[in-house]
Amino acid sequence: MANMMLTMGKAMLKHTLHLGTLTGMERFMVSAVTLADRASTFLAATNIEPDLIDPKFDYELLSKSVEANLELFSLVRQRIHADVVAVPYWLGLMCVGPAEFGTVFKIEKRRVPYPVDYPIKKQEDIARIKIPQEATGYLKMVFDINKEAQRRYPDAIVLVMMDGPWDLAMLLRGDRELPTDLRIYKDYTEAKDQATRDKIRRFGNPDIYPAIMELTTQLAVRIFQLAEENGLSLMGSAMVDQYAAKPIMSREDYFKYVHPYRVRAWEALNKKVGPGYQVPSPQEIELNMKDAMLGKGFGGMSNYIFPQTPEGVTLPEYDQPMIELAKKYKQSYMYMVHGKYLRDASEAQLDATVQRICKMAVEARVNLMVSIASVPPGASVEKANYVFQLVEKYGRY
Amino acid sequence: MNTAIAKTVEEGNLYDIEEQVKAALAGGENPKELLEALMAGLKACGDRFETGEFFLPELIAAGEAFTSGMGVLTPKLAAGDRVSQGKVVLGTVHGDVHDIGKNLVGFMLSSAGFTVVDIGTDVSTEQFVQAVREEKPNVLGMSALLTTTMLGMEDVIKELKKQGLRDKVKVIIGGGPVSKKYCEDIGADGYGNDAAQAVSLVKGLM
Repeated sequence: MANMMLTMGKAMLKHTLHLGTLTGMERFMVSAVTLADRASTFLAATNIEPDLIDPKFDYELLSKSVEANLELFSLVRQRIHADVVAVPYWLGLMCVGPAEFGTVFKIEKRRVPYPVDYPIKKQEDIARIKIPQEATGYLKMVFDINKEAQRRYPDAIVLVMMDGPWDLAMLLRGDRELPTDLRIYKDYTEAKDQATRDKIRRFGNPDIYPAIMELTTQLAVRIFQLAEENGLSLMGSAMVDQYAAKPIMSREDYFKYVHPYRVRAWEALNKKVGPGYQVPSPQEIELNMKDAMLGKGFGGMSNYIFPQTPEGVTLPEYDQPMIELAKKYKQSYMYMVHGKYLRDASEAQLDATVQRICKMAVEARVNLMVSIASVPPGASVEKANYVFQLVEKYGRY
Repeated sequence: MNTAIAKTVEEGNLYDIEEQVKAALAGGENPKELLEALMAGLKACGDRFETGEFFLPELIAAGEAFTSGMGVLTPKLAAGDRVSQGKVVLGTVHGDVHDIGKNLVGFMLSSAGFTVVDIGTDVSTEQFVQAVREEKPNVLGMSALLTTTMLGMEDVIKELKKQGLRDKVKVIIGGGPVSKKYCEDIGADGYGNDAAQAVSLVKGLM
């Protein structure tokens, strides 16, 4: 933490006094408080398909070896020309802890590990999952990778991104069962009379949903605490609940049945962890900005789940409102180039898109961060770098 | 049409639907008209999903209410009372267990009167081909959420061609990483940007 603050201070001084060109990390830090020299670029290394870097890396190897993750991260840092290259591990969903709580993952060489069985099948199963005293298994592996990446690459930004209560619950209960549990619980709590409540109990168990969420709230808190106990800083970290938004649930249901658990976790962690919550429109982002928790954190002001054109570009009518919103709240707009667009678009199309976004941000003097959601099979490292070059070309303030 | 039954399905009230259908049958209502009411409720729920008023839990509940109602009604229906708009086989490709998108598509198609055969998630190429051979659907729908797993869609289409089945079924694809270009590249017949487009897409292919 001390080092980060020192780096931030140095970066601000260098920027204010025009003492040379900012490094990527300095640009990233300056843009958190003021307008940097140009739009910044960001890539989560984990979103690059490993064999695009070197076919020797596959998910079986990466799920076993801390060193393989670090070696791959090193190669990504060498080959990707983004200001910030973060998230140095390739364990897919396992990184968030559910494997240690009983979720069974299938690991194949060329596929991101994916869950095939969930530990909570009935209410009694909830009590079998214990709050961990220490990090073990894949969770420990992620902490070790992060810590070692930070030691080897002091200029790297290691952001701790872990699941929040809802996303953890989805991975422990299953993505069909949990929404059903929520529906039963909602019907039960909103029922007008006891006769209706009794009838609901004949069809389902309204006690499961709050019991799971209670457990996963405690687990989410503990996982972040373990990250700290294992030597990681929570600065810039995020508690992600990406499945607690539309079309999985309404905004009203989110605030009534999910948000309170997230707030409890956030407060238990002394509000050090960002909320990690994305919504599908600028209008909803603006509403979130007024919330004590959702108004804070990294990546909330993003087009990540906005509606897209058939080619995979955010609908252009969302761009100007987002630029205006970022300006109004003095925050950075994180513009995601989606993996499928990176894969399918020609260089001319990419040029036009990046130029359009950069022009809007430059004219409005809004901090823009351009990121690539994934570098999938069929795309290439060169194409990703081309996007980042375009930002350097068009994104100068 | 029994609007109360339609409303019960639309609102996903699985707690009352069986009693209502039983009471309607006992009161002499025509089973075929009750089926229409159940279908109307499902469609109304789908419409509210399309307009952004309803979400996944509402769709799941309406689907369950419909199924419960059908459990009571089916023995009373005569042959020919159920007129399907066509048959659609749906599955998520190998290596991918994301089924929310697929389930949403399945719901939307069911609500529009299609017979949906959901063959699940993590479905291998061989299982897709077998389902096409056995179910003889009008449309095969494949879903993927990951850029790596979606490549399996091309394998399925190639295998359908190899087995001489490609001309017998329309193939649609969907999911986050799927694009119009990918659809064209692998020779699928259509793709949807989101679940709400599924009905018009399938109707356009029938």
